[in-house]
Amino acid sequence: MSTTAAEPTGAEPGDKPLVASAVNPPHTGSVATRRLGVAAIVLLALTLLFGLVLSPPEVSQRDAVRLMYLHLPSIAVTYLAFLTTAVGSALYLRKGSVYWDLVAGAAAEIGVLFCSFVLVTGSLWGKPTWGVYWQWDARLTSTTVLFVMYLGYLAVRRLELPPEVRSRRAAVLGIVSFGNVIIVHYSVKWWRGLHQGQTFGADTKMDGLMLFTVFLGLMSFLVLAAWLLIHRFRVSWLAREVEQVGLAQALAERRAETDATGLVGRSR
Amino acid sequence: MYWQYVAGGYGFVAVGLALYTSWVLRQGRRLSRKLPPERRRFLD
Amino acid sequence: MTETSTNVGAGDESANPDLTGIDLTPRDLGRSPTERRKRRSYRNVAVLSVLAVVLGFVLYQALTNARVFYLNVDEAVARQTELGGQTFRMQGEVMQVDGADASGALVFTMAYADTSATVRHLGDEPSDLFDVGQKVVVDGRWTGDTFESRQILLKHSEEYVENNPDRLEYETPSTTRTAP
Repeated sequence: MSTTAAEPTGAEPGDKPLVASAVNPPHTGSVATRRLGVAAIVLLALTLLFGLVLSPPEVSQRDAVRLMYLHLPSIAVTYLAFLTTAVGSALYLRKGSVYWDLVAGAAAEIGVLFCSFVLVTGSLWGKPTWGVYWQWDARLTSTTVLFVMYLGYLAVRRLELPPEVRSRRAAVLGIVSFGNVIIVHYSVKWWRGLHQGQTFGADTKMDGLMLFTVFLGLMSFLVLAAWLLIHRFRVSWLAREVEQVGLAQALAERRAETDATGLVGRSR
Repeated sequence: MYWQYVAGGYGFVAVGLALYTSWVLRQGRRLSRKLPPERRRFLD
Repeated sequence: MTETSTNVGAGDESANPDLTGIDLTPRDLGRSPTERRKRRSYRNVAVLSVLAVVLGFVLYQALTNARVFYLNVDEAVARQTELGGQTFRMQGEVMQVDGADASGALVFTMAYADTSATVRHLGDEPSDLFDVGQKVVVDGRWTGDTFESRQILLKHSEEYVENNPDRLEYETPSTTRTAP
């Protein structure tokens, strides 16, 4: 994972120390993302060190417990990402600002990515402990519903519709879908299942170094997700700018043509 | 014990993050190049 | 994936009222834009339909499996006649492992709330966590007073205890499983 986290630095053009390119960089990096990126690399490296080397195996699960250091942070990021989508969607509907629409979309994409991590690490954790990769119990089923619903949300964002219509539909879906996050979270309390209950609460039963590693994983994934969110948002923003520049250009070209021919532009 | 599952999980997450991160960064560069410098400003 | 970015906030002619009458379609494209649009929207509709089918399947699982994933041993015993030969899952704590019987089935006793039941398991070996004191979910059915199990699932707790290096090397529950 440290190799992937190393990529944030790759985004920064250390090779071109031009002032102009630093102010208007040809990429989505900035001072803030560079700092976040460095923090993410350090934290991820520490998570790997503690998760795979320094933390002890569990009494009965042995080394399989190490999957927890990715599984729990991933679901935390998933929840927070979808919360961001819901808040962004609500703000978009209220203020009509494209900014919040793009934030909502970027967060949902990151949420889906981390939700896939939750499903895969959970399934791989299940085999050595439960004895099976998968069972349709309440927690696993509702998490799958969550994953599929937000894939649907991302698909809706790509429908060929007028932008405002599409954004509004996506926003409504982004708010409604958040209900499922609550169902996923409480599924282990509301229904009987194979999945263990909530790990963290008033009576957390986890030995010290394992607990520390979970929090380390949590911190590193949160910083990484924040870094990803900023970059992903900027990509959406750039895409929008490119569209508008392209539109303005096409418009200027057509105007020039019509001026030259002296005809009213109506080529269709 | 069970290291194969641990490796699978950590590997999947690492590959997933690597692919997504590089895709996002490459998109950012590709789109930035299409824009005049004055339109590439981000609030820092 | 590449499409997302180019699509976000895609310019729409209706958004700019002053553009009426001017053809804005890019001219260097092989396929006509309307054709491209149609293709893309067909694809998106296809993606959404697939997702809807998947969602339907998962919700079906939610209603059939997840709603009542298991009965506790006391409930399973109380409803024994009603359940008949129906398959269901039963949850409880492993109290005693008797080992393999003449037919090679793993025989053990599990209990919940002071009610116990004898289980004969003939399927795959359970995970290494299987041991006295562990909570398990068995999948199978009643045959007489014995529960015939075809699958044993380990229900591990949310308790995480360090395997202290000072502690003696942890033994897999061999004592409870190697009995002939």
